[in-house]
Amino acid sequence: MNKDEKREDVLKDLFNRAPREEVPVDFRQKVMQQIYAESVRIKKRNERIGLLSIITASLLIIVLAVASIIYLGLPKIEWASLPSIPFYLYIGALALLLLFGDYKLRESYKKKHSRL
Amino acid sequence: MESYSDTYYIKRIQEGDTTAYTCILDKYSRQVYSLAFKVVRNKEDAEELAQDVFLKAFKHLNGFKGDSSFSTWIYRIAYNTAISYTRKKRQEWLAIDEAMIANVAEEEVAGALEQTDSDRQMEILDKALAQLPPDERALILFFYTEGKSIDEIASITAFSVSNVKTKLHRIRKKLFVLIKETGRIGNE
Repeated sequence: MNKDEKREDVLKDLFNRAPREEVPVDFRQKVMQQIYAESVRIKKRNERIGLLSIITASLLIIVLAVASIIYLGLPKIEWASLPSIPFYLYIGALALLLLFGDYKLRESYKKKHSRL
Repeated sequence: MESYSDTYYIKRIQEGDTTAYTCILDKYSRQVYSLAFKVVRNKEDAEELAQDVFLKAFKHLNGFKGDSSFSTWIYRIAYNTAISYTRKKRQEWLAIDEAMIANVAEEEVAGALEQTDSDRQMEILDKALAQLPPDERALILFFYTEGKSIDEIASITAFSVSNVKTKLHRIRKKLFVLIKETGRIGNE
């Protein structure tokens, strides 16, 4: 064994015998609490980003539609020439009502299952 | 209980299964806490630092591309967090005479250690380590306590391989001087 190996062994032996610190008992619980809180924060942030992207995309589509009507000279919609407009409004309102019902049902389902 | 690879748990966490992080925590909390404690030498600060390390790792988990092992990656976070914490404290460290470092006789130190009992040896090592600056303490701990290779230490600390070799050689010599001095003071 050369000098370097012997020197290394002295420290290696010392460090191998040195006691290792024990992690505090509630460490895991404390960290996981922070992790869950962070996870919720990330989810909310992603939801906000998602919502913002949808709003931006919708606005863009509306702007493009308006620009098309103005600059490309697309034929204007004459409300008077649409005799079936009450019917379309009725269908639209029905769809919105169903969407609202679906949203409420999902909300109550989530609440019920998160309590379990 | 069946244990899976780090990659498996990371994938699950990235897919939204936050609970899988407990497996990562169980596997690395002792190493991270132990490193933090040895660097800052205070239980409360070490616990806070270790918590900070795991929170940072969770936040940046999507940035982990698997270029290095997860162990190296989390050690890198732990090393950087602990070192920046100690820098804020602005503590001054003992300067050792270059001549003493160059002329330290390792055999003499080893011989002196052999004449003391195991508890006293541990006490001397602890006191000697306490006198090393935190970054040097972390390097020597990576090498001896964690059994990391030179390449892994270079990857954790962002030093070059040759720089790590030089630093480790010098820290070892410094540690010998400190062990010799601490042992001598204790025996007087």
